[in-house]
Amino acid sequence: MNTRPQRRNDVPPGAEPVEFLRLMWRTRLFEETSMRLKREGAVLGNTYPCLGQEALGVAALALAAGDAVFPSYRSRAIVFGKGATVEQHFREMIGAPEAEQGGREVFHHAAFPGIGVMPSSSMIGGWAPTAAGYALTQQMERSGTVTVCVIGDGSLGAGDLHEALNIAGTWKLPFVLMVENNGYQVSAAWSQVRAQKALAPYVAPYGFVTRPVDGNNAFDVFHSMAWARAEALAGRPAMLDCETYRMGGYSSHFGEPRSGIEGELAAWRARDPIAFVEDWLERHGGMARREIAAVRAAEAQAIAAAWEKAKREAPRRAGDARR
Amino acid sequence: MGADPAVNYKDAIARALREAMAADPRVFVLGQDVGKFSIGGVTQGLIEEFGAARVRDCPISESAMVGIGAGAAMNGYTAVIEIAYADILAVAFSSIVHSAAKLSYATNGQLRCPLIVRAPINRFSRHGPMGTEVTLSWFMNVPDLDIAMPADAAEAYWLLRHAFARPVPTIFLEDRSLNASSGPLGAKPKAPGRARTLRPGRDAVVIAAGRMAALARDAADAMAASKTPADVRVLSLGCVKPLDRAAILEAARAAGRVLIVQEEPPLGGYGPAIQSLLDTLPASALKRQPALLARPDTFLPYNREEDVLPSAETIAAALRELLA
Repeated sequence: MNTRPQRRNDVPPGAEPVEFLRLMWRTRLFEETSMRLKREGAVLGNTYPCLGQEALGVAALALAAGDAVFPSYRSRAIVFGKGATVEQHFREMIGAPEAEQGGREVFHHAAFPGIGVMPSSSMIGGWAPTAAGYALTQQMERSGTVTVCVIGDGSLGAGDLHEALNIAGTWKLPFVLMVENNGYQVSAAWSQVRAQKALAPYVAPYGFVTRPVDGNNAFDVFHSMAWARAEALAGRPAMLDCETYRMGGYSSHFGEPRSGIEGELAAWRARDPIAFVEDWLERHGGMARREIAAVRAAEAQAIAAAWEKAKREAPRRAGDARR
Repeated sequence: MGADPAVNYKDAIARALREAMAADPRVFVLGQDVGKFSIGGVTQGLIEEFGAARVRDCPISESAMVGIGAGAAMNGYTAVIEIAYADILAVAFSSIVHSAAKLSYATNGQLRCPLIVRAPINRFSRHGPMGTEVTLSWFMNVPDLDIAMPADAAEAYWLLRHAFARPVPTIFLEDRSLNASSGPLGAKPKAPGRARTLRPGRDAVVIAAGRMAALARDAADAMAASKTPADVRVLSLGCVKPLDRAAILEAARAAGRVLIVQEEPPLGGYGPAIQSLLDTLPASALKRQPALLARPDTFLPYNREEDVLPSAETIAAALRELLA
């Protein structure tokens, strides 16, 4: 039986909302910086910003250190949440020799296995089986850890995803499918590429428990991942259908590919995930506006310093990228 | 005698697999009908010995099976994936190339992918154009991917053992038409994965892999026993990737006459790769231009597939021409 827990607005036990805010500002400012650096020709790598989807990263804070995450290419937030740093990302972006991928793989596929961040892939459906394979080893080891596979809702069309879900459900793997359901596949609205917006009708029959998540509400995201993790460890693979919206373009390759979205943008701007937590901190968290603003300022300063450091570490590579 | 008894090709594969599973609890098997009912026979008895967690019957999801193997490799496990027959590798191609072979390169060696995809060639199974293909050439230009194609029981055993020691994925193309062929397994090769002389000879050398190498040995034996005998060496590649360039060049120089035999059409595969390698030799190194005997550019019919494949007779005829 699939449970349908209510969406939750309360602060999860043990969680620090100000940490949520730090993570979300880090993500948003990093994405904005990477887009600017690409525009300026300062970096080679393209970027797929998760603007507007920053609250999804809070899911990482509900995970254990031994849990693995297989990110999508738009999952900076959860990758930061697992502990990867902005410095590491800039090194990857520059293709610095010190970068973990050695300048071979694009930064939005970068792996940091030591902290449980596994690589991503351009084969977006084909990557779900690898996540399932990792979960299988966790099950065989009885390690008490889970694997989180993050996909966009556009991946629903990929056959390999369904092969993986069928196996994960049948084998009761400690597997969590986290869907960034922003309703668009590049330019195509969800209704052009599938019959139902919600993912549960597709995934539940494979043997998954499912939960609709307010993907712009960091508290609901945290609660939901804590629930999904417990379910998956109890032999019930879980799917989190995180409803959210991409507030920026698809990637740095081209401008906004969606047309007629002004109304959607306005509606989702009113649901800004960062503003939601800031308001909560002011009303319930005992923080003054000035203190809240200082969180953003500190993250901005850290990102600027990290970029300067990356340039100093690999000035030749950064210079190459400019040409 | 008795110390090294003859073992058939299929049992040699089963033995190498069983030994690897006994030696390392992180080796496991994925496939369809590999458990209580072993459709190909190689995995017979493994589920009783090692349990259902390590011998896993899968849905018809070859692409996911390979992807699962790659994910498991990220955590230090080695999956042995049985594909029902080699043709089906086509539906797992993306997983083999993108998920498995590229893993080590893309992560700069942070993660490695030692997995084994056993894909039997269904020769003479009468499965027709979708059930008897070789597929080797499809994978030739994928870096960080080994391709093994054993010609006899000893090669099958030692190449599978070798595959478990490799940090990269291996496509293991065993040929079901060789299943009943048998021979001693011999001692562990000094250089596992290198080409091997199946039969010595001074007049010419045949370079081939898998069933073609076995047929070349038959052809060479027949020629040695004929009224106009010829002394032909047969070099079995065993591993087609990495290609044993040094052994090929040595054999070509020693014999001066080279026939390459492959079971696939001539536009790809080890045939053209060896021809281009031999082009690097000085003109005086060879007595004749190397010859390539390959199947024409066609699929394989279910009725009389042997008509379009090289045979011991056509290999012998090509050798006679080379020696004339």
